[in-house]
Amino acid sequence: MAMSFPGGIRPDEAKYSASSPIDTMQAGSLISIPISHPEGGDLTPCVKVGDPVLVGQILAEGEGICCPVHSGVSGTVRRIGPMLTPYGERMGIEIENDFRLAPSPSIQPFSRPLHSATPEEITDHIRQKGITGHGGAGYPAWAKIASCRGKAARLVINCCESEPYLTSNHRLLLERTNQIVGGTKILLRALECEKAMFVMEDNKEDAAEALVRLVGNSKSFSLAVLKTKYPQGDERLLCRALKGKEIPKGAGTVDMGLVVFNVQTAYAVYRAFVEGMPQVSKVITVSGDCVKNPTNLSVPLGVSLQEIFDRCGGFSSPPNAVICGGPMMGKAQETSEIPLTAEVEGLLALSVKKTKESPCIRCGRCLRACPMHLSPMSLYRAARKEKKEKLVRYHAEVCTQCGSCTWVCPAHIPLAEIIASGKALIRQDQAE
Amino acid sequence: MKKLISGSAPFIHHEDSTRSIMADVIIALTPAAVWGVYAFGLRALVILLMGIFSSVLFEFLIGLCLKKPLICTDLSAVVTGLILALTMPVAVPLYLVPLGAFVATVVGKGAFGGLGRNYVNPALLGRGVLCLAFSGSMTFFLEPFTSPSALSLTLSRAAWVEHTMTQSLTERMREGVMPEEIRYTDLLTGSVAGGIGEVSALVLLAGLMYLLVRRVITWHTPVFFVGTLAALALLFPYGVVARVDFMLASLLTGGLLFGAIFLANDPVTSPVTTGGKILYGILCGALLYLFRYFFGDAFGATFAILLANLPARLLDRLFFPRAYGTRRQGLVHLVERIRGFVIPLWKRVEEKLRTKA
Repeated sequence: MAMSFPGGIRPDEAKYSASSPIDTMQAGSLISIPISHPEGGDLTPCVKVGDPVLVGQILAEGEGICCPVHSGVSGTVRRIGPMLTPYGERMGIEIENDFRLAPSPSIQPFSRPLHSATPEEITDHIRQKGITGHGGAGYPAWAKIASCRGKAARLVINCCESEPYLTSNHRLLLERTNQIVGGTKILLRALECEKAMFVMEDNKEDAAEALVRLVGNSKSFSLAVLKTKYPQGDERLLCRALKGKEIPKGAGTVDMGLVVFNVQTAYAVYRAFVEGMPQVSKVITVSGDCVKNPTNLSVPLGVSLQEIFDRCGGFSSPPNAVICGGPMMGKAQETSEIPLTAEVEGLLALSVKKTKESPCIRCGRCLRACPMHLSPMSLYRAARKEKKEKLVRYHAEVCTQCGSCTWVCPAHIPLAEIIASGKALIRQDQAE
Repeated sequence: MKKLISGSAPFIHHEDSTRSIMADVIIALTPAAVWGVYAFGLRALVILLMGIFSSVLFEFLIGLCLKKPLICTDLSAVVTGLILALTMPVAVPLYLVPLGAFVATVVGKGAFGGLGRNYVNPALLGRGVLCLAFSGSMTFFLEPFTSPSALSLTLSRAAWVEHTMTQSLTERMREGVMPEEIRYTDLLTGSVAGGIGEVSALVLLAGLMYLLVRRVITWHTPVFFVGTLAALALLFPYGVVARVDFMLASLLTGGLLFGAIFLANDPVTSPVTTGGKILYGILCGALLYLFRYFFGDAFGATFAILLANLPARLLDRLFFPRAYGTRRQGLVHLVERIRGFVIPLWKRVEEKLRTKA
């Protein structure tokens, strides 16, 4: 019986690319790598304009929780300066591709067998290979490992993909099962954790079977299949579905005994150890009603979104929205001439219908849809009238911006957007 | 490439809209409307059309005054007019229909600020005012299948006296009369004193099924409304007949089913939370039974639901959802606010007593 959390929605899954095997794309003549520091500011470049670079060479480094950024091609540094990325303008490094893919000598398998490496050495290697979380936040993996080491009873590998259109996690699990299990073992050692659990929804039965065939008899691996619902992949709702308990306000999954990593992170960790390959590419889903051939594609980081669309056969009809991420929580981009970065899970070209907002009829669907059991109806009214006291009382800060309320509202009120402005209002207030 | 939008997520949407929900309600009402016309003839059709037309017209006129002439295209005025007309007895003077629509649309909806802002059900308000002002006309019930004249403005009571149903089933039971000729099939398919749409329980239940399947309403309010009434009828019957018979008669007469399915569930004026809906259903049932017990059958449903509409938003406060990761706050907040109000008041009273002493 599939477990789940109360609430949530079931949008049309639109998994057009679910049966397309992962294809690989080569970089074009130019790649652009942003070098922003997760704690603010920029990383320090290790190369200058005109320097030659090799595949896997470190381009920029920094202090604090960040990890180095690497090149996915060999060639020459063309420019270091501001560039437009899916998340705004950032400092970055542009590299002109010489198409030789000459590897750097640092691309070596990890020198020792896993059982003889200490957790600290493993974590340091993960840091050096630049691995960041692939679940959308882009937080450096090594920092999460270091802060959770020894604290969690179970590692959860999140293979959930509840957003419509996205299928990359599914295909990765199906086609690279060995590597993912290998990456999980490495993560287990780094976290000083004994047990791992793979979590996915019940629309990925074939991937679940592949995993069972591989590790079904193992005592340290288990599998949980959850009901297909949006937004199942959220950490808080995973905890609710797996443990039946909610994470109290202010606490994290670690306090409930779980540490969650995305399945692509496990895959990247494996490659970092067995091949010595740093994080220079990513598997994404390219889909949407305007894409000619919806595909799962392994793309080098830094390739422009337009090149990715062209690789998939271009547009079947002109889209009016290019979205990085899924259709529920992704970010609409103003242009497709921006580079792919590690946080982007999917690339969509959609034809979005314009709708007009009408008055709220108090139908209550938003309350039933909200996975955090908030009252979006009350929150949006408080936000529109800027009533900060009410926003705090109705727990506006618990909102995860999943968008279920906007999706379901028959009056087409942009609830999630208005609640986000309400949250910003409270944060502003608290900052003062 | 076309110009790219830069709005916020989400970029997909459920296919329903306010208009599609209203359309679903109209579809759910259609069997009752069709049966009503079949049972009562062309006059019923005239009343229905007048109700819809005048309701939409008034909403259009309000729209013109507010410079938003298209507010009548969301079908909510059609729903109001249709519901209002379906609760009218077929013999009602035709000029009362636009009057009721006026009260419903202009006073019940427009004066409050339009769709979504009213505190009482607009159709019920229209009906309630007519019942108070023209109670005689609103209780002029004819037997079904008697074909009253379609276009005469009023019908003379004297002329139709032998087909007039003066007492409902439950009222006859109050006097101890156990009508031999009760066949429940009749009640289910219509021989009840009531409005055009209130005759047949079966078509109303079909409408309920449609609304539930399409998720326009949830089951809580109708079930608790009807259930409370049934329980009260079983426990405290005012009919001097077998309890079960009385309960069944209570359920099938007096516009209860129409009220429980179409009137009480108006989303704007009924609670939004599940707990609220349950309490609201119980409140409606209890009020209705109280009215019937002491005042007989006339208009009980109308005023019971109107009264229950008033605390609907308060009921929601009691059952305000508990946010993920937090502890239940609804009752705590209510208590806090009451304390926040009472304590300063008490302090002032104490001051006054002290200064006087």
